[in-house]
Amino acid sequence: MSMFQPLNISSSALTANRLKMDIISSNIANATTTRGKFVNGEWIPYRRKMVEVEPNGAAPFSHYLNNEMSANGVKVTGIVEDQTPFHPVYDPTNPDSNKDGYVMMPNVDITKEMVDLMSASRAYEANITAFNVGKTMSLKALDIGK
Amino acid sequence: MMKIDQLLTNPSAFLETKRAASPAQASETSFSTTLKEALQSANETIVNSEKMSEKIATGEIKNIHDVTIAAQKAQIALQLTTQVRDKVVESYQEIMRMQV
Repeated sequence: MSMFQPLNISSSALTANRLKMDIISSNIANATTTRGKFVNGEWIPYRRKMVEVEPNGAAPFSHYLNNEMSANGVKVTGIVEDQTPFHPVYDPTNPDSNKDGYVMMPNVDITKEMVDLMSASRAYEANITAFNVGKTMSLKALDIGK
Repeated sequence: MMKIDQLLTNPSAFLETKRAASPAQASETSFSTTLKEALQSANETIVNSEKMSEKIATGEIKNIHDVTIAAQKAQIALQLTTQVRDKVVESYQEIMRMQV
């Protein structure tokens, strides 16, 4: 499939960036969700989620020793939760406030999420550009000898 | 796509296998077989693109770029097929113009 390899690489990156955008949207949507998980009889706020990516076909060192290097795109290996502490907010009327009147808010920073969203969006565009260049090169190769 | 790919990157490989092959093997690796396989794989790409379009219409696929990329691959495969066809027709006409 090496004829379509440039297209496949860009395609994998597009899929990864789409997932990133989905996760960021989820973080923004749940920026004030105080009931993320029900653990041991009490509600735990939503935890900010992040996407883990790694090069497609990442393998042990022996693999690189025996094989030539190749470009294989990117793949998402998992979605992890941000373990930074929650933000306490004083709001005694909130149904989820503790006895001191504090509510634990999710560790989502909207500003940060917006920046991440812009960066994911730009990365998506960059990969589309790379895809188009790859396609143009394939089509130009067909013009050889015309 | 593998075969069409080889045709594109290393056309001489096919000529040599044909030349070196004994008559018994010739039927397996003949040019027409290679061409047929190449056409089949190009057709598969196009059929796959059509399937993807159906799936996006029925909502099975959520990534639009998967569909557009399949369409682009189909377009490239089709153009490559057309180029090969043009060359074949051209060489046929060249032979037909020969003085006897």
